[in-house]
Amino acid sequence: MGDTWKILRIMVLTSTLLAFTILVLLPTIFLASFPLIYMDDIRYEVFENPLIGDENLRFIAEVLAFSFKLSALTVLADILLGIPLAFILARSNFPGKLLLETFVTLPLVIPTSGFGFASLLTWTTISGIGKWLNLNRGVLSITSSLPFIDVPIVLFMVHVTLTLPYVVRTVQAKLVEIDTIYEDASRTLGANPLTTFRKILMPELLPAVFSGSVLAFARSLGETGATMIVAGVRLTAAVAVVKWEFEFKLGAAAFLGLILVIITWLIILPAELLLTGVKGGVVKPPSLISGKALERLLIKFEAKFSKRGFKNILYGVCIALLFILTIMPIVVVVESVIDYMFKDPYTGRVEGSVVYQLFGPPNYFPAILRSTAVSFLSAFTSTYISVFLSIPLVYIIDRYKFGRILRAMLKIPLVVPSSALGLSMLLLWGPKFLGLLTPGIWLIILTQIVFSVPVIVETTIAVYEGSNIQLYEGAARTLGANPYYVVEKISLPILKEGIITGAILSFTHSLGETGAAMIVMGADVPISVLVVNMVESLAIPAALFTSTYLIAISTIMVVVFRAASRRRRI
Amino acid sequence: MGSLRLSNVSKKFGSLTALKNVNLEISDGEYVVLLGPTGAGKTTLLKIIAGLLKQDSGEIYIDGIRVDDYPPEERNVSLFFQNFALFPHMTVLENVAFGLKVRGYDSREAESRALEVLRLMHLDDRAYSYPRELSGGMQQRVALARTIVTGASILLLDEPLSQLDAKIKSELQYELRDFVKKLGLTALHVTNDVEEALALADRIAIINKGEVVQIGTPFEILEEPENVFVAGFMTDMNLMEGVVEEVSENGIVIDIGNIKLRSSRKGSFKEGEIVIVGVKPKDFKIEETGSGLTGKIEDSIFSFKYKRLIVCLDNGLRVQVKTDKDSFKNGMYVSLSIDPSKVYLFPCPKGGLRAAIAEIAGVS
Repeated sequence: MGDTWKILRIMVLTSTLLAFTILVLLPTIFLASFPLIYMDDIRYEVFENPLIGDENLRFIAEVLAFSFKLSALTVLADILLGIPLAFILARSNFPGKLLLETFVTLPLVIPTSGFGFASLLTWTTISGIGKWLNLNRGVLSITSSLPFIDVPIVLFMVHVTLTLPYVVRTVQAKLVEIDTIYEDASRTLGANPLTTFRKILMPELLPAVFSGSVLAFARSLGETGATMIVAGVRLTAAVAVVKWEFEFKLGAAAFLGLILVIITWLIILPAELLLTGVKGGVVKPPSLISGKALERLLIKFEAKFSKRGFKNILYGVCIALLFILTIMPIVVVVESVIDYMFKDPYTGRVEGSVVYQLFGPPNYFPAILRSTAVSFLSAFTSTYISVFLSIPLVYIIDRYKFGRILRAMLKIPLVVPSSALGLSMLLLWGPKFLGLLTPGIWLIILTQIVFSVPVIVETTIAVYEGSNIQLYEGAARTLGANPYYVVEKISLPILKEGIITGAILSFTHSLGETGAAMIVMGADVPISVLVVNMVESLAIPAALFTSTYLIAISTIMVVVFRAASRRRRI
Repeated sequence: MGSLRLSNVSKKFGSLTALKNVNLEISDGEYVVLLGPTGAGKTTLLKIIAGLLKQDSGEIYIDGIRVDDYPPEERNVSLFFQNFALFPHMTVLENVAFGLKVRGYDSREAESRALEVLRLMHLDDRAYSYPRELSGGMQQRVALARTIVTGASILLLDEPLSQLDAKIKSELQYELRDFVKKLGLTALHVTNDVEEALALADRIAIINKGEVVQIGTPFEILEEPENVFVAGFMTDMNLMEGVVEEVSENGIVIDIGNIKLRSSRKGSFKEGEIVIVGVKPKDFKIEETGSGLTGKIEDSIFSFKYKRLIVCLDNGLRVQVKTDKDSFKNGMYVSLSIDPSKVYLFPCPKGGLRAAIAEIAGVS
């Protein structure tokens, strides 16, 4: 009897670890072998091209610098906007709070290419804000840049919107955890609200702000779908990888992808180590300024801005910005699809209508149907497989000493830019190395598994650690239940909420993912990529329809997501 | 200086009334305990005085100045929290010096003053420890040091002793009062513990369902409870429902189910009115033979100095009687008598005695 379970345990352990290694680990570390495998290609394309010399190397340096500038700026804006929003959601109560929370969550599940197109429409064309303001043009041009730092405004806005939820949600979760009693104590001891925030809350919040920022930074760095649509002539590193792959410059693409990953890790790893090593997860801000005249000046300054009105203005501005960034594009795209339904509202031509492009000679409708099928089929399959791989992984991480290492490795796919990941998948499974798969839906599924497993494992572990599960399992065992029965009847029902949350997140992520899909899709174009293709071939009405359709799907997803995560709270 | 006056303070949370027309005056240097069952609105009142909540109506005066629109940091009151709320990421010294630093004191001066107060509390050798490294009693003293160092003359204490073991509680409660008195502070202390209130207070304010129902010295409250709630919450009085049978110059005669009691206490009651009769167990005179109130001893419970007998009267009512004699045994038939001036009469609250008892127990 005991032997049977032992054998079963070893079988589960080895098969899980094997599947994990092949499906998740190998693709992410395979990137590291690029320089060895493609040494010649890289030398030829990047360093010593007979025609252009090291022009590509200079180009690489340029796009990398631009990408990091954009992402750093995005994270900065996320923090400035995200902390007040997290406060509103965690510390105040008002009628529209649920709606606000939904708005904040929306960009997490919205397919980025659809949202990118909506933003483009809103800010740079006469169908957007320009129309409402009675201008004959968009309020911004796609090349309008932020002064001094030379980052396109629309690109910047889109990146902020798409990454904001990571900061808001992590900070909000931490804030809910912190007892308000410390703030009350600080206030009655004579500290004004801003000083209280700086001296009492900030030390506790910093780790959350940081881990949210890391996710936001990685997401911004790897963002492809929306970036391709709104970046205009500018190229980010993630987009450059895709572009080169399309031009069959695999060596250059691989080289850039690898540099991107290495630099990301050089930035994230030290900070991660620094923060997790801190006692009790509390960071003590350096006391360089405390006690000096500057500190007193700071307190005076904070007291001035702590008047009741300031808080309301700050909250109002943040909610307004969230509304402008997230909701406005959605409203505009829905409005436009109605305007364009039967004819182009500006020229009156029928050829410019949604109906004509979908069912007339351009005949986009079958393509949309097929892409929808590809997207849902792949997202569903990859999520399904990921769930079954994640559950034993959670146990292994908890029960075995090497689990910590496993968990750390699972963070890699979360921060690898998706186009670099796609490239890695293509090179690993494709004809160049293993030769097992050609680009197509199976490769899409395998790629989605790589970034789905970490998400499901993380959300499940969060529930696992918060619920005294080993106690219940032990109780069930002493009552005579066998290990299999315990997992089925005790553990899985407790972990259910975490698994469902993770599955919904990874499903929507798979549905909206663009960067990796573009590289591995072959002829099976998923719906998120189809939008990009439509925009590039200037089939605007068709793009309008597809974006609206994608946004509608993801809005339904967010409602489901909210329902699932609300149940978890009880 | 440190006087506090509340005038008609009311607060609602949605449809729930937390405080209703609270009036309270505390003079400089006085130690007042706000006593009431859980959920009576005590903590809400403290938070309103501290400025952490805003009242719906009514005014708050500190040293004669109306402070309704002042934020907490400008009210010059300090609040002592139930679980101390010591900042976990700061050392003892940093915790104590916090209130001074945020008021713009130079850090060296703030720390030397904080150390001074810590020395007063015999904690100067733990200045560089973190709160989690200290015992409950030490943490309490650090919290007190932090609360008083800012020089605020009004100290609000929110169940400051509830987190401590029963044994060190009585010791620390004496220490607490001693410090407050020595420093000449005005204190408003919130608790639901009757013994704690009696031990600490100059005056006690009893609060129930958001209303202050009686204010007085501990002695006044024990001897002259003004209503059934105070009588039941503060004393071990036997409470019985009865009907006024006769009102005359000799007093009031009440029928409590075929048994008649005479009360010579003041009170405007009409004949036929239902009232609540209260008799303290110590006020019964118990004899082995006699006429009047007779009943059988059902049970007896020992306390330190006396015995508490449960006597079932002839009409079936059970009352508690205190005696210091050991000669009364279970099953004995005894007679009870009471001095009419010791028979308390209270108007019958809505819902009768049963509802009043449930309210005292905090059930309703």
